[in-house]
Amino acid sequence: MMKSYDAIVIGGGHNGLVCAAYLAKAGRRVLVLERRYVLGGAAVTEELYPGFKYSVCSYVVSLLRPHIIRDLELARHGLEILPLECSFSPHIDGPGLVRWPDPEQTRREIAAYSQRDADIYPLFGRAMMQIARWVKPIIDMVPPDPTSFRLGQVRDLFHLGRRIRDLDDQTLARLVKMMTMSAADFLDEWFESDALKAPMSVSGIIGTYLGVRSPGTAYVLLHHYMGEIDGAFRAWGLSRGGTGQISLAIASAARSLGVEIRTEAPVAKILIDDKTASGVVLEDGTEYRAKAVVSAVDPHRTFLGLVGFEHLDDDFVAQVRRFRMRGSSGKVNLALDRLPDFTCRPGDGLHVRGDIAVAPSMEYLERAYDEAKYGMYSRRPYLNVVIPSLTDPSVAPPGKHVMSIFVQYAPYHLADGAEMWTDKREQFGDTVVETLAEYCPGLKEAILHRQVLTPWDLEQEMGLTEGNIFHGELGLEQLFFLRPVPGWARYRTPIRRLWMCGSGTHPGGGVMGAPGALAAQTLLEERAL
Amino acid sequence: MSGRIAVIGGGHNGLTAAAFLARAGRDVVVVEARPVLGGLAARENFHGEFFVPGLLHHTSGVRRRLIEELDLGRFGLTWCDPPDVWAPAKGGSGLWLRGDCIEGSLAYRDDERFAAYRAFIDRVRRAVDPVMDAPPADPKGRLWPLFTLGLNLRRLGAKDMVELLRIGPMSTFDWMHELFQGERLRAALAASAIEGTFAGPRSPGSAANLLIRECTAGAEVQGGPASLISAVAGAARSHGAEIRTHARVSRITVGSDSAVTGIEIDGGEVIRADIVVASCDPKTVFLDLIGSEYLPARLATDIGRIRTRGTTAKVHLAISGSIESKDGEPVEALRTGESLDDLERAFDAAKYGEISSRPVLDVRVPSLSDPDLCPEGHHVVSILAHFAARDLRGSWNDIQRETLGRVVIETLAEHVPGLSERIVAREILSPIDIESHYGVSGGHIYHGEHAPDQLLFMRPTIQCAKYATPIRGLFLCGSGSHPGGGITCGPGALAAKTILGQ
Amino acid sequence: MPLPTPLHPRTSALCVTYLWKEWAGYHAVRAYSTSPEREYNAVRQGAGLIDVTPLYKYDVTGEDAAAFLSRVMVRDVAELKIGRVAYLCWCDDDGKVIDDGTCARLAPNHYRVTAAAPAYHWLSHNAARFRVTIEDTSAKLAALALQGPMSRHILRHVCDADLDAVKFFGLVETRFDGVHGVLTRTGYTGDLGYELWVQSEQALALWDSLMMHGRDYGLEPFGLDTLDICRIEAGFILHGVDYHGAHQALTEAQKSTPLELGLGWTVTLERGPFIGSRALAAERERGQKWDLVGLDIDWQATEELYDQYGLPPALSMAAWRTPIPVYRKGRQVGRASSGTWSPLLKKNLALATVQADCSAVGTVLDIEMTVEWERRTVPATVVKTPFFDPARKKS
Repeated sequence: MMKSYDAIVIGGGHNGLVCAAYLAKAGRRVLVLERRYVLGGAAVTEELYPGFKYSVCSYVVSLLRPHIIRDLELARHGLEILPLECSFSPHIDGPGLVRWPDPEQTRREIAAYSQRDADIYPLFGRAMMQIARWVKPIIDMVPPDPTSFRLGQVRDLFHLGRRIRDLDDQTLARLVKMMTMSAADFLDEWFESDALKAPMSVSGIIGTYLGVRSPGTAYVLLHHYMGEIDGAFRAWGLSRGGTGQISLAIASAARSLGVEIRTEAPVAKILIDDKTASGVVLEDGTEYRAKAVVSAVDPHRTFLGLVGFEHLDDDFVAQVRRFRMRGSSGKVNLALDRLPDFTCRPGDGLHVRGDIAVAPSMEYLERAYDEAKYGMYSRRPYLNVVIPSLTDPSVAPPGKHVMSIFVQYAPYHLADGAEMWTDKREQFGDTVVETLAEYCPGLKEAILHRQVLTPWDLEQEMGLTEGNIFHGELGLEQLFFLRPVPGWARYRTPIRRLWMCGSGTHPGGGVMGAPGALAAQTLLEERAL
Repeated sequence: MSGRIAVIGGGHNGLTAAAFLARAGRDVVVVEARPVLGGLAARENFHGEFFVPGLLHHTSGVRRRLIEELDLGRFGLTWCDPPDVWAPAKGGSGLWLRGDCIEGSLAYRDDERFAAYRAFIDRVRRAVDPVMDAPPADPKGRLWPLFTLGLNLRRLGAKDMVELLRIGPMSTFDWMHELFQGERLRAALAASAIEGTFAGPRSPGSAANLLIRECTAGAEVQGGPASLISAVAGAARSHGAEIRTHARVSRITVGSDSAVTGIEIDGGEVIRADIVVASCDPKTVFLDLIGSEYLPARLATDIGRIRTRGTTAKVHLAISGSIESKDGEPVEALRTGESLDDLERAFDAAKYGEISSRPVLDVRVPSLSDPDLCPEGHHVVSILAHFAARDLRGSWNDIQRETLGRVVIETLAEHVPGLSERIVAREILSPIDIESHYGVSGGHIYHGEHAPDQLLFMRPTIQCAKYATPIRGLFLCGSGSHPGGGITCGPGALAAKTILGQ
Repeated sequence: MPLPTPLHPRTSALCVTYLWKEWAGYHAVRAYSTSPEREYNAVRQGAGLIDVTPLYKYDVTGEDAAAFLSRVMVRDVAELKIGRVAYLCWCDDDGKVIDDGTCARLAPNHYRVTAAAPAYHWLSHNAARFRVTIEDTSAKLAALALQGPMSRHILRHVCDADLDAVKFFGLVETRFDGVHGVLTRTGYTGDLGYELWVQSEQALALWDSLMMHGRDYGLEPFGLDTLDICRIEAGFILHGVDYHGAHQALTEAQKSTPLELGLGWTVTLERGPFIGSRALAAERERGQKWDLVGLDIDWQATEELYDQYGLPPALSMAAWRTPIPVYRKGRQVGRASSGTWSPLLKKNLALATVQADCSAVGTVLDIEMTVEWERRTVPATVVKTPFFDPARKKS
């Protein structure tokens, strides 16, 4: 059997689907091949226990580019984002801290810890917004290569330089600080209360193999504020029906634009003749030919797996190899018989309907990281808990709940080897449940079903190399024109007609869809098909 | 402007600035609080006839090209090659770093890799080194310096340029792992990345520190920091600068038009000056010496935010006999920390306000090349120990100081058998002691941590990065300014040139 | 969720309209009745009582209190006599106004500052080297404003202070029907009036006492809607409405200097440096860019404009605060930031920020007016503020 397409997209995650949809929108014939039985990659909903729908991996919509929602008419295809507007950080002793949607209420909460911090908190938000405004266009641009002399790229660089010169001193200083400092140091400049700083700092470490004291973690704080200037209210939220719904909506949009999508179609190899990709061959031997092959799979798998060394020069292989993608997080999903009470704030309320961060102090977070550094999962990890069933009753039977617990740190490379995760999985799950139960004593008794995902599982089941949820760590040295490999940051690869569109390319991970959209835009502009 | 210039602080930077200014015919007075000149580079007598040539003991970072004009050779300065560094290992004989060469038991192909590393450093030095010899290029400032910087980068060629940009934000851990197989080699090189920072090898950005360190290392001053000081002080005096010791500045006086009018010395003496050049750290300058009424609120905020968390302790030992490697070679410089994790664990302690139980030691035996420092048959050992938190949980006291001394000696004794029995005397300086002896905020030996947001046009703050400050007539010339800490004479020279250029 | 003020039991019982609004995290009454005239008339003819507890209040004490506040404030409050209150503003280094408020001197080393926005961080941040204690007394102290020509008569029944000795912007510590508190002759209505400061627990007793004794003098509780009309008549600017505080502004263009806000008179430059002094001195030298002025919107023209559409003039009785463009000869020269129909003066008034060269009294500008969804303009003349300035205010 042989069929021919304009483009074949490998991987039916959100980026692959976005890329396919945009290409189809431009009138191209596109095929998407997904290895698993469901679409969505890491943005997937699965019913692993009857009646309970888990957002298995990715669990919140953070920075899904609003223009994608508009362009692909995702609302019409079933995407609905529900608010997640509260941040609750429980403590074992004392009332903990809730940041409410109401600024004055938040002010009072913070004032219980520090009057100064309470005053400064909204000012901090405004300062961040100014920086976010500056950074936002970078997310939506194809990174220029600073070594290139091509007119368009020199112009882009010049434009970037001019934007820097247009900044006032204070904003420039803040920008530099933001890009280079640790979340802890950056927040120390503004705030004094540990109870506030700890839950704020965690957005800097999610998915990274870094601690809150590691330089370079401050700039992720921006993401939280980016949503507010994005032209999409509630850019932070839950997708109704689970995160998988995002993928399904994109898939539906893609299909309506004519994209052909095949699941359970694992690609074995990309067909390459004379350094040019001509199609793919599936594990069952089926071959598909296309003018372009676009890989949404991470760079390691793409080049070291699907392409193979024989087609690449040593230098490039070395650079792909050194592209760091150490996974550092795990996930525990629970089906609950009832809503357990948090000791410090019992009962239902807005506070349990937002995101709940077990991050009682900076030291707690840093110690969690220190354990991970030396190859051990944190004995008292940072947890980010969401109970989507409180906001979206469609994901659990009436009165019952689904709890999604994102866990950090769970380093892929355990001191005694990554394979040891299979032995330690349930033990790790116990640690997570016990940690949370310290804040939420009735938790254990309420558990009907538990799913534990270690970085090893993320690799084996989801195809995320080393369990890295971002397809590559988000350090400055692996971003922008350096992502994934210097000189190959514009979705192109050394193999002609092979392109990349996954989170391993600019602007990186998270359920943003930006790499997929930018890749499609590049392919079309470069007349690749 | 040609009135009197008062330089606060007689350390290497203060004296360098004074020498340049006096040489240009300015009327200069240097006031030093301590009885001796030199600050962190002063020769200190710590026991009987035992001396160390400076609290900081490396001089390979001195900006030789910048101070060439002072013709210090006339004042007794001679240059020499930096000593070979022994990186001992418990199991074997460790490694010897001898300039561009390396000796010892190496992992497979690490010798080639080391050669490639040195070659890379040699190439990128052309772009990095000039940055240290000029006032910091400011992205909002004049275009020429920016253009020069860009051109220097571009001249490296696409590959090295991108590599330089890529390595900058990396962690030393990741960089060393990319480069080498052997853990001992990785650790031996990485050790200098974390000095004067609040970082371990796993902290992103630490690779830049290492890179800068490697690119700026040159010849050393014969006789160490103390010889440098006597030469620079000699130069300053010969050009007519007045140098006073035992004169602690209590206040920088400011007139109603927010311009400096002079300085006030402890005891009430007032020295009138149109220009005050301060080599002390920026926090001391702005938060202690300037009246708060003259301090713009934003500057006060920014200065207050400078991170000066001291993490370095100093131990001086007077020993009988010398320190020898396992092969019997006398050791003049030594670095402990056998693996990157050793370095990382040493740093971990600092984060929690503790003293590392196995600190990373940067050891010099200055008496090997300068026998005048101690009686015959003896040696002095100068040890910079990382990390011991200045803000110790439970605060510093004699017991804590003893603990510090003990762990430092134990760590060194792992490689120097019988060391403890040969110790004649010792001096232990915690970061708190360094702070009080030398008057540096936070006990920070570099007047402010070396971190990307505290370097170049951000050092010490964006308003004061070009030596001039919002207070008219007040200039900074200490380690808190570009190109930063360590014995470099760079900030002093560049500040003086800035003043003379105006 | 906004909180109730200590006076909530009384105000909520009276607020049958359910017209509330959030003010600094508290529930505040907008109007007790659906027709605002009654409340307005009470303030201008008899007396009105309003709960102003949500104001941010800070007590500054300590031996450096005077020096510290003089450093932060544009006014030299070290010179302020004990028992006096000063209206003033405070700026950042660039001389841009952060907020405006009052500063009362209760004792040689005790000041009380009121603010429209939280100010604790700014005060404490700048207090680094002063021997002062700054306490946020916002929640601890309740405040009632008793405003109107009859206010002094009512107070005579309630407090034992010598009221004739309490001059305009004066202050006295006294007892209100046995309740210890502070009385200041201040307010936001531009009329004769007082503000009463007591511990929160004693607020209800004070309210009851005032309401009881006030009955014979036409005392009515009033809400923020009426306050807004009165403050515009008095020419008082409002933080967040007529200007953006420097900490809230998102761009430089959104910030203002005291001179631009007509608060130049509160700035004392002839003294040692204070925060913003360098910038303010420079501005005084070169002149400001903007001016805050009062506009009298031509009524005749308004009537004629409406007449073109076959309509009678339709103006809201409430004050408005949506910025409206102001033109001169077809070119936009500024914006009106708030305005109201003055029931007393029978004039349509506005406060506007215009370019300094258009701010002379008597200058005729044009203000946008939307009639039947069409944007038109009517003339508006720059006039002196306060629009309404009764002699009793200071007598």
